[in-house]
Amino acid sequence: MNKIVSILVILAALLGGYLAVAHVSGAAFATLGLPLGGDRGELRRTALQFMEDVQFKDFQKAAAYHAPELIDTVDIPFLIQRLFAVKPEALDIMDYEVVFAELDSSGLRARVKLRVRAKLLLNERIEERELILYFYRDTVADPWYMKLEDSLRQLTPDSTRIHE
Amino acid sequence: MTSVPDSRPPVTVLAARYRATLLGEPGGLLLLLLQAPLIGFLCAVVWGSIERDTPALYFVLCLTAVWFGCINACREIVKERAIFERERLFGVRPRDYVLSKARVLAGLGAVQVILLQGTVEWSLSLRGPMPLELLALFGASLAGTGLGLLVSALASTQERAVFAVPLLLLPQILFSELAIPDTLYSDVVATVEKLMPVHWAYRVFEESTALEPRWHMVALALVVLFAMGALLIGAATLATMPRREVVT
Repeated sequence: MNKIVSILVILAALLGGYLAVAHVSGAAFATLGLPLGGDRGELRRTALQFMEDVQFKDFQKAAAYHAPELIDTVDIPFLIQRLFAVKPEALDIMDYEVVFAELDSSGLRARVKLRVRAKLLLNERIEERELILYFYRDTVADPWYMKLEDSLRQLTPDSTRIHE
Repeated sequence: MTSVPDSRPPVTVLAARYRATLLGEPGGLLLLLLQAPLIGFLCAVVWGSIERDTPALYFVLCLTAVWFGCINACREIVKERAIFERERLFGVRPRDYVLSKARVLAGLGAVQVILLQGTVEWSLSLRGPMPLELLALFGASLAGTGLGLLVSALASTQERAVFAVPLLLLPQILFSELAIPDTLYSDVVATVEKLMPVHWAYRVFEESTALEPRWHMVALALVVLFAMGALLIGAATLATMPRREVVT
């Protein structure tokens, strides 16, 4: 009996230790479905939910991670096309994972780097892309909003400046 | 007061004694364990600067795992040879003795590779399935333990055993894709590379992180890695036996 109790105590301690590490690391390790990791954990979960919505072509829900006043203006299919150079219907997102999530010193801006593996259905080629999602909030009490336009925006040359 | 004979198998008794010896020196044990997060942290700093993992990182992790196993084990037989020789006269078999060492050192190696990969994953998620990569690192650590025990069984002094470790690890780097691309290998280099535990651990990383992983190659690499570990531990057992017993 004592042995069983000891084993259970050790297992509970190991599990508790693991969850504590997962929390402190900002959910860099699997949190077993628990809302751990603080802001970084929340950002990781949001980024993964966003990718799941894109994977299942639910662009309306994918747009919902933006500020309420921007939701109607966000064109996710266009942005996806710009990233993978194919139309969303010709793209099969197979796999995605968070590389890291970090906050700036103010705690009001954040970025999450993702690794996305996708199959281009037109030529059956598998490609990997890295993308960074940027988030912001006005105060630490506010929810995080995505700035997808910024995340995927291509640089357009400023005609008023010299580039050589 | 009469002592009750221990009914547990000899390997278990010897392993328990060895574990108690290690735990009796918490400073030394802590130093062994701290190597892992320290090297993991250094990897995180280097590869964190480019914000991505590369094949070189996988190679460094595999080499580190073999290093852990080797350095943990290389003194463990030679330092208590006199004790073992005496106990052998009372019926302790070399096989039980070496297996007890390997068992405890495998546990230590497992903790080290978890700490190593955990520290890297903390700041930079590696591509590929983490449990599989941990298994590859554990296999590399086990092969390193076998190598270390073999060195320990063959060495005449602790100093010589420690001195031999870099000589065993250097070929792991020389006969690898890190030195020259595998397309330029001669037949000899290609053959020798296949004898290196780091090569097989690296293959697991290489295959499982490919865009289209060949899982049968991952399985093969893992089998070879663990077989190497078992063979090296077997070789260490043979080297621990008295000469006459080996001949007959």
